[in-house]
Amino acid sequence: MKRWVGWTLGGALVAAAWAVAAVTPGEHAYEDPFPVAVEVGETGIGRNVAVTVLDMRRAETVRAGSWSAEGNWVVVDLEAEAVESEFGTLLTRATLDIDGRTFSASERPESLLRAALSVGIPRTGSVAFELAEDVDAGRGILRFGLDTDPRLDSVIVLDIDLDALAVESAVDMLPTEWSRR
Amino acid sequence: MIPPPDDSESRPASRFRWVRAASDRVPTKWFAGIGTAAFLVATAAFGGLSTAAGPQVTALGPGGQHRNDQFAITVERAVLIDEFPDAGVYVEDGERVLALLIRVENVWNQPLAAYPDSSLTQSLEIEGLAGASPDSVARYDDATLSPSLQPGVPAQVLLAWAVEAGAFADEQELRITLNDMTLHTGSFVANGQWWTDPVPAATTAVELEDIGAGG
Repeated sequence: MKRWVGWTLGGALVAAAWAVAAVTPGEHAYEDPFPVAVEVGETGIGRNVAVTVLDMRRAETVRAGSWSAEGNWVVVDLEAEAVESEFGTLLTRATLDIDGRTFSASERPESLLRAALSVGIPRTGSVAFELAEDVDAGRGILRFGLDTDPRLDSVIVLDIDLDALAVESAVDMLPTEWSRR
Repeated sequence: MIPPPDDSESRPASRFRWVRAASDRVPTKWFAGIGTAAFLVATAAFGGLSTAAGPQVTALGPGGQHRNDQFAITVERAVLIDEFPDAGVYVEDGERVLALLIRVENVWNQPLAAYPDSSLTQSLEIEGLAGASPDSVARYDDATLSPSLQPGVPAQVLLAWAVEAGAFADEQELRITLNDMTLHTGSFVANGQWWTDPVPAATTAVELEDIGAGG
């Protein structure tokens, strides 16, 4: 074998090994959720959940009926419906990843969190996230789904930019009801 | 006389003769001695046979905060009360409610649910309750039962036990052990991360107030 053939072959093998290492999926890739990326006003349709985020607001005080609480709140108004089946279909997963931390939608106010979803008739309402006081800027990711265990199911994903949202002194959450749009 | 070597058999033998020669030189008789010496040296390096120091347990003053990788906990108040349905605990005849008010901040990066047998309740152990989980966990401000503790958001949380009416008395000093937990990452058939394995890390005490029917 000529000398240059050996070097070329060796180089090609090293490059091929690097490429294989680069494209190898992560350890948990086989059970990753299926993300459906949308923007505000756009409907994300997954396996059995369809979510439309209508608005995002920030507030120092959140009110829902007679309940209210102060804090660093992000309120997300949304519509949600089931796609295939209503059996046990609850909007259980609503999280906000920001600043290296994951916040889950607060169960303190009455909200669309854990609401039962119907096929073809959207429910409308809000979910509220209570953030740490030091989280007041930056970008985050909102995720909505049916199960707190996100593996192998659809997750509706949105970007959220806290800098683009003005902090209001008080906001009211939308009551959970049938959508009238 | 050695017969002339047969090609087919003697070639492997001569090729591996050096293995035999090398292994004959290994001082197998010394193995026991070398092993014993290595064991003794290793034992001495790790502190010999003296008792290993246990985990440091700090004594917190009244209102002192204990902070670990999971929670920052301050024990604020302990009360004995006839009944406390708002805290989610229901008593039978001959029972009263022991309620412990704590201020807790989740310092991890994921929300942590605080339900009766959760990592939060395993982080506290009250002397005289024999390690029993509380019957209810509720937020103090809006009575949300089994609340989720969001990262970096402190909250006042009530842990409530239904106890025998005579088991605790007014002005009794309630000694509380605060535990540190270890973060466990599931693998193979398990999935996710959870806090487990409580180890005592701090002690504190609070005076029990008997507030009768409430107030």
